[in-house]
Amino acid sequence: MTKTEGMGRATDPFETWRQLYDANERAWSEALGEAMGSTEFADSSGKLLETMLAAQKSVRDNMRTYLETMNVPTREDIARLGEIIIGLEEKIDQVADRLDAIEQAVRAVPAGPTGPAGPTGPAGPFGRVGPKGAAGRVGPKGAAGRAGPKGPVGPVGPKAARGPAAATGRGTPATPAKPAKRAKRA
Amino acid sequence: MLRAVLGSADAPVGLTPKELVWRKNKARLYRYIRTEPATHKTPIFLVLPLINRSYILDLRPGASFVEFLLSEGFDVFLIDWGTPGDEDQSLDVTALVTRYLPRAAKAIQKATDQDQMTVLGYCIGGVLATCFAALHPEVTRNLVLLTAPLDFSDAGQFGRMTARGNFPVEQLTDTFPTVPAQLPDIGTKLLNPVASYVGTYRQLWDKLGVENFDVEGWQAMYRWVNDSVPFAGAAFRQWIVEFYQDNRLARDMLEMDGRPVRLANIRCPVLNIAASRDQIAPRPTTSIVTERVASEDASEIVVEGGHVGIVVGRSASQNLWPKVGVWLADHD
Repeated sequence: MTKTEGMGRATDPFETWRQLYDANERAWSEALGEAMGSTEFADSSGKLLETMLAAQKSVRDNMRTYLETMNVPTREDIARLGEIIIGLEEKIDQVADRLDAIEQAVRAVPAGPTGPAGPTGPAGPFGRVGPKGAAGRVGPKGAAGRAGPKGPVGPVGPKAARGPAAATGRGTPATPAKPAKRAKRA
Repeated sequence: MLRAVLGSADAPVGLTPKELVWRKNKARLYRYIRTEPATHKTPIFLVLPLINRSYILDLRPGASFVEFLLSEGFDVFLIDWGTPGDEDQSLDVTALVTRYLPRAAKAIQKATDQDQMTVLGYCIGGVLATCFAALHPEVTRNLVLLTAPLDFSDAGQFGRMTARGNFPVEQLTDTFPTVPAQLPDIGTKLLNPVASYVGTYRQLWDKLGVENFDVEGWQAMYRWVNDSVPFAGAAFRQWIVEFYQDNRLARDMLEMDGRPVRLANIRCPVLNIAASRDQIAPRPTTSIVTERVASEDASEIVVEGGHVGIVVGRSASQNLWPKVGVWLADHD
């Protein structure tokens, strides 16, 4: 060790602290252990804790009053919501437990003749929407349908050419001539 | 040194691949993914503490109890309790034992097609696992406890700090719907304040000078120690009152949903693992289980070390884990 190194170590504050600790650690531990293990210490630490708790409670109460005045949800309000959710989860677990018990009981019963159908149970909870199914097969040809409704009137067709007059088979009987009137002479 | 400490917040942890098997509220049940089929048929159900992150059992590659169990051919499941919010203020220990664990166990049964499993609990998770095993002996093939405090008649400094009259638990849970993570964290660190607040950095200071010092390993552990989880108000109150103050489990007075929780109802093989210098779950709190259960096969391993060293660290991976692996294989 050089002279400089030796001096550096001697003046190192951590080294001094370490030596101090090593020399006194046992004595400190024993003294503290004895003091803190006593009933008096337990009693006084309890009193100290009580005082701190009273102060803490006062702060929390004041903060709650302030938040309620401001119409802001308090820590207790949010915790209450959480409690409701935890309670619901417990209910679901209880239902699951009962279902498990029923399943076990059903498995334990030997298979017998089929009994009559039981009453219809209450509707179950809604499930999640399932994935889209595959396209179905083409079905058989259906029966003929009924006649459809009457369609709209079509457009007027072209006028037909007049044909030759047909020969008259039997003539119209002649009208008998009226007697001529005598001309009036002026 | 500062860089090592600050970098710990992003230290990679819990890296073993896993899949979500079941969930309820904040709780998640994971199954660790195996590249090959399991060679043991009994699945292992890991039950973690409420106040710590679950990645302690899967800290990092090479220092992961989960990784070890997978390499031994086990099918491993882990329940992560998540982070409770204010909406969980009425969630208590009873709900966790009677509504969460049985359903998670059912999910394991469905996933593995096995009726029974090995339930392995760490710390408070061990207490939950014990209560579950007492209420559901038909499901529990084996029970393994890692530093699980069950008898609070002599609970050490934690017992004194939380004693009735000293600890304002009602006032605490009235003020905080979820008990802030810092509170149990400070309580734990006060068990050994000099080592927690000074010794950690003094050790780091020394190790930084060592050539092959595993900085990432230190960062992962430092991250876990300082990454505590809030405690749901009702669960905290029940934990302190019924377990610490009334000691109901050890006194055969604990009831959950109207059902008695009795250690004597546990008849499966039990392996109790305790740490000799554990201050969080001192030895008197962890020693009754082998005497009180009705199992004919109840054994105990007491490891030199503390509460956390029992599940991570070189000593754990070299000495304890292989013993646990052999016990589990023998009781498959």
